[in-house]
Amino acid sequence: MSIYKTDAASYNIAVENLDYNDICDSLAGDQKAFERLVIRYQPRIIRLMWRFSRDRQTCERLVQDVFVEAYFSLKTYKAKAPFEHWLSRIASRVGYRHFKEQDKEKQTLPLPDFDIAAADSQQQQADPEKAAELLYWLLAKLPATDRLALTLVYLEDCSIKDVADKTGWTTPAVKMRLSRARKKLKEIAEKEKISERFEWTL
Amino acid sequence: MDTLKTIEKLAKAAQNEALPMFDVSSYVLGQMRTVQVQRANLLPIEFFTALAAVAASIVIVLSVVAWQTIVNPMAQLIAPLQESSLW
Repeated sequence: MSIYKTDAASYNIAVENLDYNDICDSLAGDQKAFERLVIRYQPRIIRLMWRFSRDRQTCERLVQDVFVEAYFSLKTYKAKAPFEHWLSRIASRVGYRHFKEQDKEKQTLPLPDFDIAAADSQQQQADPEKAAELLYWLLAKLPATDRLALTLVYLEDCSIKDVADKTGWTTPAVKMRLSRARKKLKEIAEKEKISERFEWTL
Repeated sequence: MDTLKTIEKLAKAAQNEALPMFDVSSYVLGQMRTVQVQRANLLPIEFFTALAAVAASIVIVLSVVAWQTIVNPMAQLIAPLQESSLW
Protein backbone atom coordinates (compact mmCIF):
# COMPACT_ATOMS: atom_id res chain seq x y z
CA MET A 1 0.00 0.00 0.00
CA SER A 2 1.26 3.46 -0.86
CA ILE A 3 2.32 5.69 2.02
CA TYR A 4 1.42 8.82 0.09
CA LYS A 5 -1.74 10.69 0.97
CA THR A 6 -3.25 10.68 -2.52
CA ASP A 7 -4.87 8.24 -4.88
CA ALA A 8 -1.96 8.58 -7.28
CA ALA A 9 -0.50 5.25 -8.25
CA SER A 10 2.62 4.44 -6.29
CA TYR A 11 5.68 4.30 -8.49
CA ASN A 12 7.75 1.93 -6.45
CA ILE A 13 6.66 0.73 -3.04
CA ALA A 14 10.17 -0.22 -1.97
CA VAL A 15 11.58 3.20 -2.87
CA GLU A 16 8.60 4.91 -1.24
CA ASN A 17 9.19 3.08 2.02
CA LEU A 18 12.92 3.75 1.90
CA ASP A 19 12.24 7.44 1.24
CA TYR A 20 9.64 7.67 3.95
CA ASN A 21 11.91 6.10 6.57
CA ASP A 22 14.82 8.32 5.55
CA ILE A 23 12.63 11.44 5.61
CA CYS A 24 11.35 10.60 9.11
CA ASP A 25 14.90 9.91 10.32
CA SER A 26 16.16 13.16 8.75
CA LEU A 27 13.42 15.10 10.50
CA ALA A 28 14.47 13.45 13.74
CA GLY A 29 17.99 14.85 13.17
CA ASP A 30 19.72 11.89 11.51
CA GLN A 31 21.95 13.52 8.91
CA LYS A 32 23.08 10.17 7.52
CA ALA A 33 19.47 9.49 6.51
CA PHE A 34 19.41 12.69 4.48
CA GLU A 35 22.75 11.73 2.94
CA ARG A 36 21.11 8.51 1.74
CA LEU A 37 18.34 10.57 0.10
CA VAL A 38 20.95 12.79 -1.57
CA ILE A 39 22.85 9.78 -2.92
CA ARG A 40 19.61 8.18 -4.14
CA TYR A 41 18.32 11.23 -5.98
CA GLN A 42 21.40 13.14 -7.07
CA PRO A 43 21.71 11.47 -10.51
CA ARG A 44 18.16 12.62 -11.36
CA ILE A 45 18.74 16.11 -10.00
CA ILE A 46 22.08 16.41 -11.82
CA ARG A 47 20.27 15.45 -15.02
CA LEU A 48 17.61 18.11 -14.44
CA MET A 49 20.03 20.85 -13.39
CA TRP A 50 22.27 20.14 -16.40
CA ARG A 51 19.34 21.44 -18.46
CA PHE A 52 19.56 24.72 -16.56
CA SER A 53 23.31 25.17 -16.76
CA ARG A 54 25.79 23.47 -19.02
CA ASP A 55 28.71 24.71 -16.99
CA ARG A 56 29.84 21.89 -14.71
CA GLN A 57 30.69 24.13 -11.74
CA THR A 58 27.42 26.06 -11.96
CA CYS A 59 25.49 22.82 -12.33
CA GLU A 60 27.20 21.42 -9.24
CA ARG A 61 26.31 24.57 -7.29
CA LEU A 62 22.69 24.32 -8.42
CA VAL A 63 22.45 20.66 -7.38
CA GLN A 64 23.91 21.55 -3.98
CA ASP A 65 21.39 24.39 -3.62
CA VAL A 66 18.52 22.00 -4.41
CA PHE A 67 19.50 19.54 -1.68
CA VAL A 68 20.31 22.21 0.91
CA GLU A 69 16.95 23.87 0.22
CA ALA A 70 15.23 20.48 0.38
CA TYR A 71 16.81 19.73 3.75
CA PHE A 72 15.65 22.98 5.30
CA SER A 73 12.14 22.66 3.83
CA LEU A 74 11.77 18.98 4.70
CA LYS A 75 9.27 19.87 7.42
CA THR A 76 6.92 21.19 4.72
CA TYR A 77 6.92 17.87 2.82
CA LYS A 78 3.45 16.44 3.32
CA ALA A 79 3.94 13.17 1.42
CA LYS A 80 1.12 14.10 -0.99
CA ALA A 81 3.32 12.95 -3.86
CA PRO A 82 6.51 10.90 -4.19
CA PHE A 83 9.59 12.57 -2.77
CA GLU A 84 11.13 12.72 -6.23
CA HIS A 85 8.30 14.96 -7.49
CA TRP A 86 8.68 17.27 -4.51
CA LEU A 87 12.43 17.40 -5.11
CA SER A 88 12.03 18.20 -8.81
CA ARG A 89 9.70 21.07 -7.92
CA ILE A 90 12.47 22.54 -5.75
CA ALA A 91 14.96 21.87 -8.55
CA SER A 92 12.78 23.69 -11.09
CA ARG A 93 12.50 26.64 -8.73
CA VAL A 94 16.29 26.74 -8.26
CA GLY A 95 16.78 26.46 -12.03
CA TYR A 96 14.29 29.23 -12.69
CA ARG A 97 16.12 31.46 -10.20
CA HIS A 98 19.33 30.74 -12.11
CA PHE A 99 17.66 31.73 -15.41
CA LYS A 100 16.46 34.97 -13.82
CA GLU A 101 19.99 35.73 -12.57
CA GLN A 102 21.27 35.16 -16.09
CA ASP A 103 18.56 37.49 -17.41
CA LYS A 104 19.59 40.18 -14.93
CA GLU A 105 23.25 39.86 -15.80
CA LYS A 106 22.27 39.80 -19.49
CA GLN A 107 24.74 36.98 -20.09
CA THR A 108 25.24 36.22 -23.75
CA LEU A 109 26.47 32.77 -24.56
CA PRO A 110 28.84 32.21 -27.44
CA LEU A 111 27.27 30.70 -30.54
CA PRO A 112 27.96 26.94 -30.62
CA ASP A 113 30.30 25.65 -33.29
CA PHE A 114 27.85 24.96 -36.11
CA ASP A 115 30.45 23.46 -38.42
CA ILE A 116 31.21 20.56 -36.12
CA ALA A 117 27.53 19.81 -35.68
CA ALA A 118 26.94 20.02 -39.41
CA ALA A 119 29.73 17.51 -39.98
CA ASP A 120 27.33 14.83 -38.79
CA SER A 121 25.00 15.52 -41.69
CA GLN A 122 26.07 12.31 -43.47
CA GLN A 123 24.93 10.27 -40.48
CA GLN A 124 21.46 11.88 -40.63
CA GLN A 125 21.54 12.33 -36.87
CA ALA A 126 22.66 15.02 -34.53
CA ASP A 127 25.49 14.70 -32.08
CA PRO A 128 23.58 14.82 -28.73
CA GLU A 129 26.13 17.16 -27.09
CA LYS A 130 26.10 19.57 -30.01
CA ALA A 131 22.31 19.43 -30.29
CA ALA A 132 21.95 20.15 -26.58
CA GLU A 133 24.45 22.98 -26.79
CA LEU A 134 22.64 24.55 -29.70
CA LEU A 135 19.22 24.16 -28.12
CA TYR A 136 20.52 25.63 -24.87
CA TRP A 137 21.91 28.57 -26.84
CA LEU A 138 18.57 29.11 -28.58
CA LEU A 139 16.54 28.83 -25.35
CA ALA A 140 18.89 31.28 -23.62
CA LYS A 141 17.55 33.97 -25.93
CA LEU A 142 14.09 33.68 -24.35
CA PRO A 143 12.88 35.32 -21.12
CA ALA A 144 13.25 33.17 -17.96
CA THR A 145 9.61 31.98 -17.77
CA ASP A 146 9.42 30.94 -21.44
CA ARG A 147 12.81 29.33 -21.16
CA LEU A 148 11.76 27.33 -18.11
CA ALA A 149 8.61 26.02 -19.80
CA LEU A 150 10.41 25.01 -23.01
CA THR A 151 13.41 23.56 -21.16
CA LEU A 152 11.10 21.22 -19.27
CA VAL A 153 9.14 20.26 -22.39
CA TYR A 154 12.01 19.86 -24.84
CA LEU A 155 14.81 18.57 -22.66
CA GLU A 156 12.95 16.76 -19.90
CA ASP A 157 10.11 15.53 -22.11
CA CYS A 158 7.54 16.89 -19.64
CA SER A 159 3.84 17.01 -20.47
CA ILE A 160 1.78 20.15 -19.84
CA LYS A 161 0.58 18.64 -16.56
CA ASP A 162 4.16 17.86 -15.50
CA VAL A 163 5.22 21.45 -16.24
CA ALA A 164 2.26 22.73 -14.21
CA ASP A 165 3.23 20.42 -11.31
CA LYS A 166 6.86 21.46 -11.38
CA THR A 167 6.28 25.18 -11.74
CA GLY A 168 3.08 25.66 -9.77
CA TRP A 169 1.43 27.35 -12.77
CA THR A 170 -2.09 26.39 -13.85
CA THR A 171 -2.53 24.12 -16.88
CA PRO A 172 -4.09 26.87 -19.08
CA ALA A 173 -1.23 29.20 -18.09
CA VAL A 174 1.32 26.58 -19.12
CA LYS A 175 -0.46 26.04 -22.47
CA MET A 176 -0.52 29.75 -23.18
CA ARG A 177 3.08 30.25 -22.10
CA LEU A 178 4.28 27.32 -24.22
CA SER A 179 2.44 28.58 -27.26
CA ARG A 180 3.95 32.07 -26.93
CA ALA A 181 7.40 30.69 -26.14
CA ARG A 182 7.33 28.41 -29.20
CA LYS A 183 6.38 31.36 -31.38
CA LYS A 184 9.27 33.42 -30.04
CA LEU A 185 11.69 30.50 -30.40
CA LYS A 186 10.58 29.95 -33.98
CA GLU A 187 11.31 33.58 -34.81
CA ILE A 188 14.77 33.35 -33.23
CA ALA A 189 15.55 30.06 -34.97
CA GLU A 190 14.42 31.44 -38.34
CA LYS A 191 16.57 34.50 -37.83
CA GLU A 192 19.55 32.24 -37.14
CA LYS A 193 18.60 29.98 -40.10
CA ILE A 194 18.73 26.86 -37.95
CA SER A 195 16.82 24.61 -40.39
CA GLU A 196 19.13 25.49 -43.26
CA ARG A 197 22.22 24.76 -41.23
CA PHE A 198 21.11 21.28 -40.18
CA GLU A 199 20.41 18.97 -43.06
CA TRP A 200 20.42 15.93 -40.77
CA THR A 201 17.02 16.91 -39.50
CA LEU A 202 15.39 16.11 -42.84
CA MET B 1 11.28 21.93 -43.09
CA ASP B 2 9.31 23.53 -40.30
CA THR B 3 11.61 25.27 -37.84
CA LEU B 4 9.75 23.94 -34.81
CA LYS B 5 10.07 20.36 -36.14
CA THR B 6 13.81 20.95 -36.46
CA ILE B 7 13.95 22.17 -32.89
CA GLU B 8 11.98 19.16 -31.69
CA LYS B 9 14.46 16.87 -33.42
CA LEU B 10 17.30 18.80 -31.83
CA ALA B 11 15.59 18.30 -28.46
CA LYS B 12 15.15 14.56 -29.03
CA ALA B 13 18.85 14.27 -29.83
CA ALA B 14 19.79 16.49 -26.87
CA GLN B 15 17.94 14.22 -24.45
CA ASN B 16 20.51 11.49 -25.13
CA GLU B 17 23.57 13.50 -24.26
CA ALA B 18 26.06 12.20 -21.72
CA LEU B 19 25.64 13.85 -18.35
CA PRO B 20 28.37 14.82 -15.91
CA MET B 21 28.60 12.82 -12.69
CA PHE B 22 29.60 14.21 -9.34
CA ASP B 23 28.79 13.74 -5.69
CA VAL B 24 27.35 16.62 -3.68
CA SER B 25 26.48 14.65 -0.53
CA SER B 26 29.58 15.70 1.45
CA TYR B 27 29.03 19.36 0.57
CA VAL B 28 25.33 19.18 1.51
CA LEU B 29 26.14 17.53 4.85
CA GLY B 30 28.79 20.19 5.48
CA GLN B 31 26.28 22.95 4.76
CA MET B 32 23.72 21.35 7.06
CA ARG B 33 26.26 21.22 9.91
CA THR B 34 27.44 24.79 9.27
CA VAL B 35 23.90 26.15 9.40
CA GLN B 36 23.15 24.18 12.56
CA VAL B 37 26.32 25.55 14.23
CA GLN B 38 25.35 29.06 13.11
CA ARG B 39 21.90 28.55 14.61
CA ALA B 40 23.48 27.37 17.88
CA ASN B 41 25.72 30.47 17.89
CA LEU B 42 22.68 32.60 17.36
CA LEU B 43 21.10 31.48 20.67
CA PRO B 44 23.09 33.84 22.97
CA ILE B 45 22.39 36.68 20.53
CA GLU B 46 18.69 35.87 20.63
CA PHE B 47 18.80 35.76 24.45
CA PHE B 48 20.47 39.19 24.74
CA THR B 49 18.14 40.63 22.11
CA ALA B 50 15.15 39.47 24.16
CA LEU B 51 16.72 40.88 27.35
CA ALA B 52 17.35 44.24 25.66
CA ALA B 53 13.76 44.30 24.37
CA VAL B 54 12.38 43.68 27.87
CA ALA B 55 14.62 46.41 29.34
CA ALA B 56 13.56 48.83 26.59
CA SER B 57 9.87 48.20 27.26
CA ILE B 58 10.32 48.87 31.00
CA VAL B 59 12.11 52.16 30.21
CA ILE B 60 9.30 53.12 27.79
CA VAL B 61 6.59 52.44 30.41
CA LEU B 62 8.44 54.48 33.05
CA SER B 63 9.10 57.34 30.64
CA VAL B 64 5.42 57.52 29.62
CA VAL B 65 4.43 57.79 33.29
CA ALA B 66 7.14 60.41 33.88
CA TRP B 67 6.02 62.37 30.83
CA GLN B 68 2.46 62.46 32.07
CA THR B 69 3.47 63.83 35.49
CA ILE B 70 6.11 66.28 34.34
CA VAL B 71 5.49 69.96 35.15
CA ASN B 72 6.90 72.93 33.29
CA PRO B 73 9.43 74.58 35.67
CA MET B 74 8.54 78.02 34.24
CA ALA B 75 4.97 77.58 35.42
CA GLN B 76 6.13 78.42 38.95
CA LEU B 77 7.18 81.93 37.85
CA ILE B 78 3.86 82.92 36.35
CA ALA B 79 1.69 81.13 38.87
CA PRO B 80 -0.21 83.52 41.18
CA LEU B 81 1.54 84.05 44.48
CA GLN B 82 0.25 82.07 47.33
CA GLU B 83 -1.75 84.19 49.69
CA SER B 84 -0.19 84.08 53.04
CA SER B 85 -1.61 85.51 56.17
CA LEU B 86 0.48 88.30 57.58
CA TRP B 87 -0.62 87.68 61.07
